[in-house]
Amino acid sequence: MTTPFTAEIRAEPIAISALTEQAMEYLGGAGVDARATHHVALVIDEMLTNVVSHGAAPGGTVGVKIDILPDRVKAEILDPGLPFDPRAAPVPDLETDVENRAIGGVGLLLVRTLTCELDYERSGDRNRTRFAVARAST
Amino acid sequence: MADAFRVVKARGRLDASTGVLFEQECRSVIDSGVSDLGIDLSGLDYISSAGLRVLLVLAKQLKTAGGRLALYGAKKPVQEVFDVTGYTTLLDVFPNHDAAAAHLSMR
Repeated sequence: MTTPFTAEIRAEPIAISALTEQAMEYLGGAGVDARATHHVALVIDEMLTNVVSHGAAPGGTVGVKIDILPDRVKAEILDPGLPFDPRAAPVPDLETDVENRAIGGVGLLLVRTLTCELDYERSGDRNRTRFAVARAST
Repeated sequence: MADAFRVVKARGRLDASTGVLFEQECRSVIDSGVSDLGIDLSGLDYISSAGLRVLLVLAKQLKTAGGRLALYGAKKPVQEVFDVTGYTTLLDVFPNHDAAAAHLSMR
């Protein structure tokens, strides 16, 4: 049984980058496949980067917990940002060409597509997002 | 035979933190007069939507200047990120250097 990964960081790009790198080291070191390792880090990155861009309480800290299960990796993100439900937000139009494609907006699409579970609740003055990414069967 | 295009290698991570430097590196190559650019992704372990945004910005800049961007060598998780977001069809993505070179050799 692997010990869960926990971290509390300031919501800012350099700290988010360092955290996702640590999460990948933790998952890879525990024998999680490359796909799940990448995508768990990615979903955390997109959710936290979204807090920085749209909903951050200045200087606020965010908490992340990652748990490895036999068939999937579960994670929980607690952030002090504005209420934000990742299941409800609109995703971009993918049918446009390079000139017309809006810059950005694909983060949420990745969050929704790459997770096999995605839950959200407002908990006091925080957002609690729980998600899971399936592991490759060996 | 030397390639008719320049190659920049993306290594490690391409995210909101590292994307700025990578974009500057590529822009300096483009600004030196390069019209066709290849980005070798074989050493890239991680990409986020902020990293995708950098690739899109570079593709737009090159297209405006009459040039082209070819991405190649992506590892499986990075390739899946391209597939999910539509970048595989939005940008020119190839499995390897030779396929990218063949594409860029056509006018």
